[in-house]
Amino acid sequence: MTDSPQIQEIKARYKASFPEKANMLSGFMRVVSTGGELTILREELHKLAGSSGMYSYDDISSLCRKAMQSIDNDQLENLHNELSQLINLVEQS
Amino acid sequence: MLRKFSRVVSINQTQNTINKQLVSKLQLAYFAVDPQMNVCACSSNLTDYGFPQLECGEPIDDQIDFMIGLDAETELDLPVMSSPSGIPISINMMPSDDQLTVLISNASVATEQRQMLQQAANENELLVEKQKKLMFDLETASIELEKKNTELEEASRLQTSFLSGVSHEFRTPLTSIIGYTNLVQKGIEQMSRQIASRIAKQDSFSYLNAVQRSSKHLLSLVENLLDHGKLDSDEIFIHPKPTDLAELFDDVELLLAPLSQTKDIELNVAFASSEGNYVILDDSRLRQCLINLVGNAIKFTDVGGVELLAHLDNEELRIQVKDTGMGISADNLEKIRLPFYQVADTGKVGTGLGLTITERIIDLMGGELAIESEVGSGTTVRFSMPAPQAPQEEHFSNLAAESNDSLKVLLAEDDSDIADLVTMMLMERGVNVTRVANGALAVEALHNDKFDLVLMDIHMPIMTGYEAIAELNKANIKTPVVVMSASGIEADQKKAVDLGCAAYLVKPVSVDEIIAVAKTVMIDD
Repeated sequence: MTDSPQIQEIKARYKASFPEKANMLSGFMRVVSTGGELTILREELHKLAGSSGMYSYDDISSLCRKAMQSIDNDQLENLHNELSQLINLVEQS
Repeated sequence: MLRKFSRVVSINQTQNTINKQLVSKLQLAYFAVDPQMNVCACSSNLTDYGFPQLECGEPIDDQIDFMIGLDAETELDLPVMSSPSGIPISINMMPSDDQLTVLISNASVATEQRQMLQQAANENELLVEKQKKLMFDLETASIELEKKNTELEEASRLQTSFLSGVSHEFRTPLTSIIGYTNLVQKGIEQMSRQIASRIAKQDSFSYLNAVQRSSKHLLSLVENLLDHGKLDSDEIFIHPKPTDLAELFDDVELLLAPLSQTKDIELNVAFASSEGNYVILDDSRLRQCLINLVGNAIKFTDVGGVELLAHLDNEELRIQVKDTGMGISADNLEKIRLPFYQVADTGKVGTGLGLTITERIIDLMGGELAIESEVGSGTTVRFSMPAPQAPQEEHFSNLAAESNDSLKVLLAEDDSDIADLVTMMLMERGVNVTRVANGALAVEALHNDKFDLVLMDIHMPIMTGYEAIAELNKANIKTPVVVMSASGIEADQKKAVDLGCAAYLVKPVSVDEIIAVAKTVMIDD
């Protein structure tokens, strides 16, 4: 089923926010590298996992969940890789 | 000997001196008693051993009368014992016709030697025990090592067989895709030369169908591989939603019929229901299981056919996949459930993951897989799972038409990206939506207005979704709450259930799911 113009507009707006989201994630990359506090990053990943999934960006959503799991399990090396992949994915989407 | 000795002591002075020296050097002490138990001779050093000094002619002292009652005719060596002074002594008793002589010698050295010997014997025994234990440990370790080695060899064999299976499984559909796309390319070239005919177009269409089939097969292979990775980390989630079972079984038949046709075997799919076709379950996971099971059955059947029978009754879906294939030996029936395991000598390849994943998914969907098989007589796989009835499809697809104002939803969502999309999608389906951005505002809205349903996010600022639901419970506001969260964590879902929420949807959710759940919740309500 084709989306209505209103839905298309909302989806386009979401897609247009990707550079900003990639920027925000890059900022957190520095926090991860320096071993900083990750609570806010987790919240942002949680939000992005939910919204990207709703907008059918399943790969972004799934990577966000993985990164959240790495935070929960204190696997900083994995988190670093996942965040880096996520930034690329968001930039390319 | 005693007689000689006493004679020497009493007669010969030189010998007496020697004896004295012996007595002194060897620390020998002695005494002799007559039959009346009177002392008739004694050395002066008895006191060195803690015995009382005896006087000749006097009765024997109580402290050394232990020899009373001994057989005076027999010479006797008593075992080493402790003297009253604590010095170990050795006692020799030498009876004669008219007296009993008792020789007491210092046994410290002998005792020490004996103790040392005993200690050496003990240590030796300990060493032998240790050696025995070491030998036992070594043997156990060797057996363990051998077992690990066998396991490693088996793992390596499985890995090799898995890699060769995967590469074969990928190569077959890829070859087909490449071949058919080549044919389509040629067809397009011909069409561009304006010699395309209706037949060529039909061919292209069937080629593209083949490409699509192969691509779907590849996709399912990749999904199986990815799912296997998720098995250990419990990342496989089940998302039940309204499903038309008749449509699902038709799809499975359409998808797998070409596979059975290429093998020239029958594929019979039958679905019967005593309560309609619409149920709530995860259709994509069920489809994945059926494709794995029926696909396997076709793969291992060269003559005859495969039958997929499904029956929905009393909110339970019972499924049976039966084939007339080569069957599975009793030995292999358990092993085939292991990841990567493939029965040798079947001439069939695969990843060996399908059944493992299928079994896990069926388990997560509340069912249990049972396999019956006999070599040469085919295999039957059965499982059943809960399938609660869903509202009829036309009910929710026509929701917009039937009730523009009938469904009034409060959406509590702080993420404006999600809120924008869900609001617009629901509004396009005729749902009246009110938006708030945190739990406190949701509670306030529910105090001031009446809603049919609340869609509640959990992680929100000021007041979380859970806190808001607790407030609503306190205020006795009974509006059904459906939680929408990106968290698939079981604890979160349990908390929602504990708080009395009507449903828990894991994002991403489609508008159809929201409406279907809303409808179910409202019917229940």
